[in-house]
Amino acid sequence: MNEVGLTPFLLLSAFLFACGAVCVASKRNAIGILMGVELILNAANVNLVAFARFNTSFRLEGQVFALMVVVLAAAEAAVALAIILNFYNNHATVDVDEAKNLKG
Amino acid sequence: MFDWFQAVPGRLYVVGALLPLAAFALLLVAGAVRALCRPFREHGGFASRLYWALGGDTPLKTGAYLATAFMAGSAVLGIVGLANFLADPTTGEQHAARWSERVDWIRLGPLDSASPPVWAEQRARFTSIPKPALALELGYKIDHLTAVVFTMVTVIGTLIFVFSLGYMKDETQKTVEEPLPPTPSPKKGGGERGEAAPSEAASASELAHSPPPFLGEGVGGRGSSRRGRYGRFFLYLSLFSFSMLNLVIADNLFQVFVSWELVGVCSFFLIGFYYERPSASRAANKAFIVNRVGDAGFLIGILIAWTYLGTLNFDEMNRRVRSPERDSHTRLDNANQFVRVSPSDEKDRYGTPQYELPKQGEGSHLALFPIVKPGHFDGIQPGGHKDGYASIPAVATYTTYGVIPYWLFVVMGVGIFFGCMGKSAQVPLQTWLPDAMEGPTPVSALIHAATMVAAGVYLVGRCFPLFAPEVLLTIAYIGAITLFISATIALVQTDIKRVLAYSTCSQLGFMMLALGIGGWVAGLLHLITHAFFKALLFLCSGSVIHGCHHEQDLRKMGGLKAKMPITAFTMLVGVLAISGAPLLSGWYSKDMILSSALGYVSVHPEHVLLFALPIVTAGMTAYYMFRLWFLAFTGTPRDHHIHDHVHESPLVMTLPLIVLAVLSIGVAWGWPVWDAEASALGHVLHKAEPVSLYKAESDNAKLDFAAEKKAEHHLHLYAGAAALGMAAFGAYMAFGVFYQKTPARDSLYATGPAWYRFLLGKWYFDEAYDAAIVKPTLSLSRGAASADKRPPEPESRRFDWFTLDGILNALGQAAGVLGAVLRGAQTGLVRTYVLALALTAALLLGMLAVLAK
Repeated sequence: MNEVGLTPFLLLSAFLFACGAVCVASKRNAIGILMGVELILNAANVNLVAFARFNTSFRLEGQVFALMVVVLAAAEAAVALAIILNFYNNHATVDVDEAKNLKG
Repeated sequence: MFDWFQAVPGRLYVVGALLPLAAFALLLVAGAVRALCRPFREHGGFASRLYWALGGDTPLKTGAYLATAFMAGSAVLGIVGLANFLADPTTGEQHAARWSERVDWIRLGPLDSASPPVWAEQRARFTSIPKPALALELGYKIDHLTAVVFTMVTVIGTLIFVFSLGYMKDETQKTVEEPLPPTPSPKKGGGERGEAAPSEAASASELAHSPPPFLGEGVGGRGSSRRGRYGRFFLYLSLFSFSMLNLVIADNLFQVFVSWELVGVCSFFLIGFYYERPSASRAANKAFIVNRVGDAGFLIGILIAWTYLGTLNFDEMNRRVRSPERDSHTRLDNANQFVRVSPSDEKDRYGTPQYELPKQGEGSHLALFPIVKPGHFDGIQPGGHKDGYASIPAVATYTTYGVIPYWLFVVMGVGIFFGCMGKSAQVPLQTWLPDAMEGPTPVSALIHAATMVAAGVYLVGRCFPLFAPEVLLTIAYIGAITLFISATIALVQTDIKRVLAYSTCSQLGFMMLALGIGGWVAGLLHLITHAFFKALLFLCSGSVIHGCHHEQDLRKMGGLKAKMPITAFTMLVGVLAISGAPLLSGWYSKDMILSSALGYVSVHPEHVLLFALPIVTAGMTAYYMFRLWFLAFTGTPRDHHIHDHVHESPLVMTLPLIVLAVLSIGVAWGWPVWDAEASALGHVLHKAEPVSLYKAESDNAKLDFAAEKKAEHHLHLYAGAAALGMAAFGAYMAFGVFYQKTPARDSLYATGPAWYRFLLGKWYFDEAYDAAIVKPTLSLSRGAASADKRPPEPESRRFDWFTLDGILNALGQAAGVLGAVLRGAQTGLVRTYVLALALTAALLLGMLAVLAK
């Protein structure tokens, strides 16, 4: 079985990141933006795990970081959803373009 | 406790000096707490209770009693210390250990170093010379002079505190009415309560008393009421006393300077105590500013001393400039003469210039000698030779220890004396002292007798060994001029306190004169005796003013003797003492000064003025003092309204008068009493006299006062007789003019001849300063201010409008424009932000990738 190198993992990660960034930048739906953010975080996770696997000076750091990011992502999703719900209560929409009350 | 004092009795003085400071701190904290609690006074609770416990709205008398008690404690310590000191049999090292201590206050540098900073070249060569250290020390050193002056200050201070308890009674009320100033213009009489002279005498009074009209309009025109300031008065008095005591016990110039400034600021507070009155605040400013002028000179002197001598300790400075010499016990004496050297033709092998004793004449530099102290200069033999300090070699190089250019040394002496001129109100800086009469009368007594003006004379006495002959001659002439000018002004003044103020100037001139001509004991003895009788005179005038309901004009008094017998009698004692009546304290000191002057003049006939001026002034002194007394206490009352309400002062005020009268009579007595040279106090002071005065066999005849001393002793009787004759003549003149008949109008009002108006105008010093300094300064600042004015119309573009203002406005407008531009970037859309973020990150990473190559 051929050994898969580091590069495909990094490519996958870059692809995921690009998807997430485009999703965040183009969606008007707040839920969609949240999903984009999750993609970005998971791109980072792939990177972390891949580097930990292919660099012998690391032992479990990458995996631990990845777990950490997963937990943080869950927490962040909870907070973000709460914000979105509140926003929906006030504006009857989840369109982030409507959220410009603080614009100078 | 007792053992502790027994071991180091000098600490008595430290405790004595700190007691008034403790009173000050207590009063300050209490006042601050009360002020902080004041907003809660209606609300109940702890803060409110604290407020009412600390006196509430009315001033609390406890603080004043406390301050007085502390001051009395200080006086007790002073007397005990003096007795201890005089009875102390120890000498030498042991004596020094018992009566002086030094601690570092601020030190940057090695511990054991006193080499002046200017010796950098020597230091590079001889590694044994330590690096200079910036060491400001605190210390005290008690000698006979300190012990006597300390006792004088504390005793007089206590009596003045007690007197103030009665005199400042008005300030204990909840509200004190400030009377309506009668004329809204700032030109008004210098009355204690702001009352101007009546219209009939307005011209004379304004000519004589109005402060120069350059400090702007006052707030006159309406009366006001304020809270009493009993506690505050005693707070200031305590700080004032502490400053003076600290100045007296200080063993170095820097500590003196600190206390000096404290004294200055306290006088500012106290002269401006009634600061609602424009005249009072103006007088306070004037005193402060004039003193700053003197202090600038003082600071220059201190800095020169620090740079070249490397120390500010009095003893060490003396040792630096005086050639060391063994006394008969082979101990070092800080004695002999200033050794002046001149640059030698040859240089040493390092190329440093050498100095040698000049073949003839006097050298351009002054040799500095090492401070003899264990640990200093271990590697170098003083004098450049091995056998100790026995003599100065005929030809020696003095670079080892350093030299100071002689002119700089003279500048140092003159600088220090300049500070003394400001504090002791010598011509040309005397103008602040008469205006200082705006303060409450006990303050005048404190300033004029015990503290502020005494500080200058005291410092001249302290720094005496540092003064070159030229400086001493300057001091003598300044003193002579001052005593004459002030006495002539005092002849015609009609304000009871101003007569005394000018008399103080004049007497200080006597002291300076005596110090300048080598009559060290005479000058300082006069300082002590004068302090007692001048305090007495001022407190008596305070009693008169109090009794006459704050009337100070002698022209409205007269015939007060029957109504105020105690005041009249005690004041007569003071008048006699200051005039030099035999057997009173003033007689001994004035006699000594005049015989010193006569002795000096007999050796140096070219300085005949130094005797002529004081002997004439002795007569004038008697004249103006008796004039004052006759005008106030004898004859017929000239203002019946005032006379009807006059009352003798309460016991709390007359008791200090009686004590001071007794002291004014007897403080200088010795045995036999009728021998003017046998003053016991004089003998005590004599022990502290700088030894340099009597080196009869020295080469430097200019600084050797032995011949004068001998002549003084022979001529003593003539000088005394002349002084007595002049004084009697002056008193008789005053008697003839002011006692037997109602004085002629001309002799009291400014309708007299031109010389009379000239004297009434105080030689026009104020006007001259006004024209020479104040007016140009004010016009300069008006010019600067007009450049700063915004233009009333836009078209009248002034200079400042487009330079300073223009630059600042442009900066402000630029910030506004930038903000307006950047505002467009905030769209409120998340997408643009994310895009900007991503692009920026890409840009930065790209830059990193390129730059990292």
